[in-house]
Amino acid sequence: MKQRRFFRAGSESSRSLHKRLIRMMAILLMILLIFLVGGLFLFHQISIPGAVAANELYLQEKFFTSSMENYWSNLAVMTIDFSNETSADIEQTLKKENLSIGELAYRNENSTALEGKLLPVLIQRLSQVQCSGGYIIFHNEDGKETVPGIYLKKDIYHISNPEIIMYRGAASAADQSGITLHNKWHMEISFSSFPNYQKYLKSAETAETDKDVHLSDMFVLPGTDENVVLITCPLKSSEGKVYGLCGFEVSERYFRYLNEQATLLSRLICMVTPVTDGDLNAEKALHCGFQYVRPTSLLNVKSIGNHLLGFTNDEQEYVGVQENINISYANAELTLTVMIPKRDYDEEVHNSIRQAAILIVLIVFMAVICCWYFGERYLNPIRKSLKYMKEKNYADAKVNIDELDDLSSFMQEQSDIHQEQVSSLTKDRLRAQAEVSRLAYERKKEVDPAVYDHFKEGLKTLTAAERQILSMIGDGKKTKEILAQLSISENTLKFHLRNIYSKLDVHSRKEASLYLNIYRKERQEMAKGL
Amino acid sequence: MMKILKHGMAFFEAAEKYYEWSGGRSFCSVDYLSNIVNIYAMDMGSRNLYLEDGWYDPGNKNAEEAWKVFLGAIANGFIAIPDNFSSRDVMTGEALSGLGSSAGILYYNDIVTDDEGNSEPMNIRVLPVPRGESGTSYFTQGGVGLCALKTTSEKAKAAAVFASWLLKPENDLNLAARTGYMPANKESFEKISSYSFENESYRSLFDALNIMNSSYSAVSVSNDLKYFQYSRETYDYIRNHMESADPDEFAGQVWSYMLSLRTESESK
Repeated sequence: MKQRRFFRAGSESSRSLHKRLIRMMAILLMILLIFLVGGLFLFHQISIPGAVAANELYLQEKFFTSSMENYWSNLAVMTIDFSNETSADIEQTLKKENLSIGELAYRNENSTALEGKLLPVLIQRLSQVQCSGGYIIFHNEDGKETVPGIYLKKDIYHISNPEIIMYRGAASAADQSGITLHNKWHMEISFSSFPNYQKYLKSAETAETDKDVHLSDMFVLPGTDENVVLITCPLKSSEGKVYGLCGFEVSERYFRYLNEQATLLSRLICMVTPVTDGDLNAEKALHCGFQYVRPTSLLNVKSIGNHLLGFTNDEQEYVGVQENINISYANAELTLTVMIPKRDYDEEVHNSIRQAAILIVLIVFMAVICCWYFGERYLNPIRKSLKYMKEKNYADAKVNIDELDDLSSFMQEQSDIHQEQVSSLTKDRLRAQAEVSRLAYERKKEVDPAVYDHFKEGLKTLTAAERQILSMIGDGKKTKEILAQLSISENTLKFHLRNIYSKLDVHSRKEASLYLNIYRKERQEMAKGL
Repeated sequence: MMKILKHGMAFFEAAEKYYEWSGGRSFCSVDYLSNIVNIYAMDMGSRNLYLEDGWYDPGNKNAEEAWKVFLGAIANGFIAIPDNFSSRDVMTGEALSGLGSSAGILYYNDIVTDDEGNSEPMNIRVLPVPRGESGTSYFTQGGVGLCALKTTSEKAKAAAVFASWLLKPENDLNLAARTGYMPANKESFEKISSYSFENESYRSLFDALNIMNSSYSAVSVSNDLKYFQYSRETYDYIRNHMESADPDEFAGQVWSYMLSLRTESESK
């Protein structure tokens, strides 16, 4: 409604050309601004505050999800392959040496010899697989706390060409293969520190190898401060006899180095945790990202709109997205979380608002300046032309604007015609005046000089009202005109006329008019003569 | 046994006795052999062991003598030169002790496990480096510094903030106490005696460092790259040739090899 009133007011009310132009330009400016902002928004040049960070997070999450699906699936496939090769090696050795797996469950020459044989296999596997370590652990049927096995680790500080070190296993086997011992090296593997050792062995008795890959929760590797997860697969003979377990280790540090994320964000945290519907346990997460410090405790998760999640604890706040993925071989469901510190998100929101505001202010400022400048350029010749036209200076009113120049020419013509008419009328008036003078002169000859003298004497005796009425009679005014002009009654007029006739010694209005005009003519001639 | 280690020669006597007693195990596995050899040579009165190129002066009889003493002990098996670090020999029981960097304590295990899989807890005690026979007390001092790649001003600032944080007395103290590195400032060095160590072996390390700090003279480790290159080549030569050699012959052979490194380098 207001808009309609605005337009109507613009079209109906009387305004100056300048104000009308300003108003029209303002309307144009608003329309342009709406279309410009709409266009910029449509083509993602400006966006809803926070949308850029949100889009970047979705993109990172898609990339991270794809990367993790490939990584964990490949790791599971490599684990199965490693298990098949190692199982075949063990079966072959047992047959050749005529041993049972029970004889390898404690440290003896045979178990050490087998470790020496399997060690190069594991070393080769570690050079092929993206992991921080690998292991082979034999089945313990006697309930002993420790069992023989090999556990090798990569020195992740040289990730491109990592040195292999022995964390568990026979030192003599390590010497044979030219690898050094971990500073917390033990010869035997303590299965109580190996997560789900008994459970996985039990599962191995019934499940098929390629369906029996497990991913452990994160735990601290004994003797170190390293958080690791293990991907585990059973070692079985061709007849289904369980020899033990094997697999690969992924440490928190290795995962971080391996999966550093390329991003346009200033900081990014990506985490992998066992599937979760509620709070996010950041301490139990494998994490990677870009220029970040990992969250240190349980993070409360809640939706904050725009398909984003807020992650908070007592000290830290983050904004991010989550996705659950299935690792088919490992029968594990993982939750992937990609997030940024809330401070970064807020900064991005403020930046986008600031940028949009600056953009709009700049556009409005430029538009106002342009409106003013071009308005003045447009109006100045019009104003100048109108001014000269008002002064009837039509020659200078020409400003090279067709419409105004045509108008100026038209007005020049009209002025010329008018001038001619005035000139003609003036001539007519002069001619009429001359005719009146001639006629008055002619009449004077018809007048009795004694009567005329008496008339002139009588004029001195007239009252002001009588003089006025006589003058009007002399001008040829009719009775009605005199009555209307003097606002007097007819009787009053008749009264005045009788007095006039008596004083001037005339008998009619026609006679009074005649003597008065002769008197006037005489006075004019006397004045000219003076 | 610890008391006799106060003098250099007692070190070798103890090594020989332990070798005989243990049935062929080394008394000490020595990291960076040249460090202790140089101290031994200095105890005999030498100051300038190297020529301008940073490698041993062939005319320095004390350097030659010092090397031959240690090489003889190595050839006899009394002391060992490890493939990697001395901690490996100690944790497998192949050597009773190790001689190396203070930060080497990080690499010592909490148990000793022999070839048969027999394990026993390791009770680490750290002692000052043996004093010289003539009464001199030297220890070699090396170390690392921090460096940062020249990238952005933001990262330069971050590096400065980190270095500043690291050098605060409380952080310096924590770092030293948990890694075995010498504290970088005096304030934390003074406080370390009252530090609550999680592992008592670390206390004995800093007790030893305190003794050396107060009554030993520090000798800088050479920072000449050629010295490190030739030293590494010498260690490899020793490992590869000590099995079948007569001790005296072996010592002379190694010394000749060491001197030949310069000639080979010049001819290249």
